[in-house]
Amino acid sequence: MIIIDDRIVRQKNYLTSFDINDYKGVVENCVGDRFTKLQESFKDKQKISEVLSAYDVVAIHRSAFDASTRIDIDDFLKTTSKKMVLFSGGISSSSLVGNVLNINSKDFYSENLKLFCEMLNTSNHHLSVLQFGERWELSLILGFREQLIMEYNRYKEASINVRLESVNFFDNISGLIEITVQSTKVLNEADFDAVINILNKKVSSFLS
Amino acid sequence: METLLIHHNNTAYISESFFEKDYLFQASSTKDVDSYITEEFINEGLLVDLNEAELVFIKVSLSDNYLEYLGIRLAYHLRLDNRVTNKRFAIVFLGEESLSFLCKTYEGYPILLAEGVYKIRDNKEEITLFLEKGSYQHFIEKENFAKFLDKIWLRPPANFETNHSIANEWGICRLSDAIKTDSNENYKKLKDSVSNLTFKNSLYFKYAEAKIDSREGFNSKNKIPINNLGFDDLKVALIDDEHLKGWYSIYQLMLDKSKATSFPFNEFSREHDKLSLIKNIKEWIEFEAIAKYDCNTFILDLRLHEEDFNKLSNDKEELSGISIYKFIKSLNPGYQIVFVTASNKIWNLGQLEGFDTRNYIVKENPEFSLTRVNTKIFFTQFQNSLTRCKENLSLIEAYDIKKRIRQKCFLTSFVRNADFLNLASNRNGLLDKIYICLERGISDQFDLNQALLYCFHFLEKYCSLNEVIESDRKNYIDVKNYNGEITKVVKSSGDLLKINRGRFSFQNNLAPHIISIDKLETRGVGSLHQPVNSATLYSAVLYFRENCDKSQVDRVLELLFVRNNLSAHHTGDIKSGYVLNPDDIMFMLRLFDKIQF
Repeated sequence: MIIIDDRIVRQKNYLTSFDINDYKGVVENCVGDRFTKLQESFKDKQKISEVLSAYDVVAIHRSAFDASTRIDIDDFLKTTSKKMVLFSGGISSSSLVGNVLNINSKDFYSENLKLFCEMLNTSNHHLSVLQFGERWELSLILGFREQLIMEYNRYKEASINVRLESVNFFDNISGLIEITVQSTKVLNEADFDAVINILNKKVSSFLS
Repeated sequence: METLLIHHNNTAYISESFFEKDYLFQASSTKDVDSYITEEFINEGLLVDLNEAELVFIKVSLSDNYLEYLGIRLAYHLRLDNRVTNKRFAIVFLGEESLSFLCKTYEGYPILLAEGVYKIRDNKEEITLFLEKGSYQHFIEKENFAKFLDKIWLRPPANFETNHSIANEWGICRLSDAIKTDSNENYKKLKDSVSNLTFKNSLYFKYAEAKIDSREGFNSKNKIPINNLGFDDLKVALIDDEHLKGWYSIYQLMLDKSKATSFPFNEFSREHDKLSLIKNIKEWIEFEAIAKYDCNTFILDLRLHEEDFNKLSNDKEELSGISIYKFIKSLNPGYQIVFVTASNKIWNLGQLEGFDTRNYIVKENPEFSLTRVNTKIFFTQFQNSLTRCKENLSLIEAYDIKKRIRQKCFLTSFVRNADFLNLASNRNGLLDKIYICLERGISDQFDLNQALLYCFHFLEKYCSLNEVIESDRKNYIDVKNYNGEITKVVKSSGDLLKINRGRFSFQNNLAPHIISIDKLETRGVGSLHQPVNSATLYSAVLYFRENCDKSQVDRVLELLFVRNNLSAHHTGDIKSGYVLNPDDIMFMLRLFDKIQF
């Protein structure tokens, strides 16, 4: 992950509970002089892709660069499937659309970032960790449950064949929860009930 | 009955007949979700449909990331956005979660408990039952809106300088909204700046606005006109790091309309550390604002650099605005400074000697202001502060004169009289005292009378110096000029002065007084002035040493009468309506400034 922020003070102010440099192996913290150098090199559009290609996650303060460099960065990101975090003080509510997370600076530089850094070495570094911290799994499970219920309602209405593997967000939760029904099986009413029950129990466990 | 459904392609019933219209919510990856809702989702089509709507069904989640609960956030917008004129529709949330689950997992839950809001599961049975039962209540704006606002609370966007940022954006939005349309170019600039502020799209802004509007309306009839207040003499330097949000435009609008000129400092750069920024501002003030533009007044923000918000920094570290204030005052304490700031921490100013706290204006903040009156107060405070600045402008010249006289005294060996030096020009001497009285007493007769006493004390001491008068000063006056030549002004064989007696217009008694003294080319009748009085002594020195003209001498005589009958003693010989004004003191100071020592 690379964090690009033009204001070192902002980071200092927020990151009081842990040291981002403890995660040097997985996080390139590009602030201060490093930012100044990067800003200079990004004047060459080619450098943007050269530098950013090396990272899985790119976190940039929304107004760190001038408008022209920002457009160049956006152009590059459109061509990749990189996870992108745009943080800024003016964002009121975080939202994750596709691979792009818009989040308030203060929410970004929080304990959630620590958790995210710790997960960077695993395959489970969902951007929602930055939003919800420990509850990131709950968000995924709720999303999947909603999709499953929608499919169930369709099934009841029109007897449409549904397999778990084809339900939206199944990939998101497959490693998080043990589901006894086979993902390739066409679901019947009892299967739906069984899976929804498992999900409900899991959801309840988050609040207990 | 019209029923709308707002979804994220996440329900099986989009095409069901019980939803007459449906809207797909698809947040944008390139903008804040509040901006998406305000600028794109609440469009004209939706507004028309909402106007007709009885029931609006909204999925609890409107994104691929469930816990964002964007459906609930959208519901807040629909209730608070002032473009939604019909708020009568009931809101029905569709979701699998129980009410208690939502309350536990979302801090924005209070809307779920408000009047006209329902939560049911997203299945056909529950939706049909809800519609068939028809036992829902509408949201009656008149009855429910105030209660609704009391029930909910919404936090501003998290930000380390929250109050500062919010007040800067909130304040400029409010001011921009409050003022009457104006043809001045700065009005357009202001409107353009404000329209670019995404803060206006935020739920928090709509919430704060609704809270104010529910208490007090503000329509085109009571918008505030920006009038000409006659600040022609003001040359104002503007130093505010929030200028891009429109603050310079509003200052310049008000200053332009009042015929003042203004000069903005624009070189705020994030690359500057605090010390570099302060250094740049100081250089600009000294070499541009003052040397080039002759600025006499400064509108200054208290916090000009982000490090001013650094909670980790040493508390004793000066805020950048304070540092700039001290610098300006070190150049000349007469310069006028108005703080316009988002910080309400007025104790920051405790260390500023002599600062008029009335010139500390706090930008409107939604956390403290709950009525439109607060918006109006800003204008009043701003105008009053500038009026005081205008009245105090003479202090700049007064300080310069004081400084020049001190330098002249220091540089010359002419005046050897240590007592005079101490009394007149040293620290806490007469000139300092005159300045302090003037600073305090621009509109205070007590201090102006005191200043006049000090002025004549100075003149008296000067006229008694051996370097100025050679004779005994009782019967004769021999004035020494700057070339060392002596003029026997009053002598027994005849005087070079002619006294005119009469009555001043402000004089109460009928007894004639010396109201003017003429300088004679040829010697007149002798010994008329014996024993010599102060009027004759001062006239002799002013005419024959300082080369003053008759109008200056006569004004000194007039002020001498005021000094003797009002400032020093209330003899009753001056009419009750008479007032001294700062110009009288400045006249005396300008006279002293002519002295070359």
